[in-house]
Amino acid sequence: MTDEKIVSLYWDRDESAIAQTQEKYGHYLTKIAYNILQDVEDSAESVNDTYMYAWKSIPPHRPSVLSTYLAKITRRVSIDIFRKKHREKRIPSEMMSSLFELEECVSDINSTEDVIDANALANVISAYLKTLSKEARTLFVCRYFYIDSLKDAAKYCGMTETKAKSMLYRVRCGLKEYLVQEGYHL
Amino acid sequence: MKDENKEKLIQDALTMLDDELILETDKIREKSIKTTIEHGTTTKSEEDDSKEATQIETRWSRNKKMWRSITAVAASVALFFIAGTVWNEVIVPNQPDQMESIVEESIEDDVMNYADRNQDSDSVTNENVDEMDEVCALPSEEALKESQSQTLQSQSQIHLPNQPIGDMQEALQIDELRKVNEIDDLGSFMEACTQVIQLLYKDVIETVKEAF
Repeated sequence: MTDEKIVSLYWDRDESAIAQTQEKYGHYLTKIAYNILQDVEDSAESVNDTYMYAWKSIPPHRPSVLSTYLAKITRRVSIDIFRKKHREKRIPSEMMSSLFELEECVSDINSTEDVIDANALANVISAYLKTLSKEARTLFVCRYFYIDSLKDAAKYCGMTETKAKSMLYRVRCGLKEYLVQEGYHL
Repeated sequence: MKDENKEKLIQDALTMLDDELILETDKIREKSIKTTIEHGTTTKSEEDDSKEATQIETRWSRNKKMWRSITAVAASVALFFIAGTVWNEVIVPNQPDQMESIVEESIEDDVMNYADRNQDSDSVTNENVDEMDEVCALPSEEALKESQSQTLQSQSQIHLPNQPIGDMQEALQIDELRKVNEIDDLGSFMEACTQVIQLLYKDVIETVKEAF
């Protein structure tokens, strides 16, 4: 079934929309959730929550790309679950290492006075990624959006782990510079 | 800004990344995952095969290198022995013969010269005697004594040439010099061969070290 039809089912408040979504994007969403949570039960919970949020948010939303819309919901829900579970203990995981790596880029965004809009920051990051090569931005998205392990991210991009690591380092350095240029004072 | 807020900001920003970027990455990931699922076993076995092939290839190239070096060393050693044998059996024995023949020739020349000179002096003496015979058919004792003294004088005037002895000495000096040169040549040849062998062995040792 096409994404448009599934969205129509949501709009028609047809419960088969969830079944269709699960059939088409179940594995995809589970993979995203599992990358963040590293737990099968938590991942299943996260995916179920995603269906629930999708049911609640469509309508009024009419996502142009259903897959990314659902992926973003799953990511957010999974990160929330991760935070709840790891509030006290910072257990080493792909999620944590991904966060540590990225903290370098915005670690010194000073002042609480500056109201930093996540949406604006997302636009700046997106703009920066579009200046990079396809290989580099794919690697970045794999590693920091999908929280793929370095090994998997390198495999998806068809390169060695070492090359992926050095490429990511260069991308992060570039992002840091780009953020400064765009007024994210260091 | 607190760490927690920073993390939240980063993750929120990443979650709101451009759909275009996510879709682009999705396609690549999907393609890779599909390939792994559809050709999982095949891919794995192909990977194994390629790994094995690479290992075998590496092993072969190492062995090849090692054998090439060993062959080179063996060939150089054989060449060295052949060269040594040729040097000892052919070149060195022939050279004294040549020298001997040169010396013999020079001696023969000297002897011939000497003989010629003696022949000349003898003919002069004989002529004198004939003249004396003709002039004095029956020479007196005084005449005889005189002729004897003349003969002795003429004999004392015969110059025994130093030339043959000088030539021989010169020839012997040349012979010695040549022998010295031969020793030098042989020494330098041996030295060069040793250096070549050392270099080749160095290569072999390095190759063996690499191999193991």
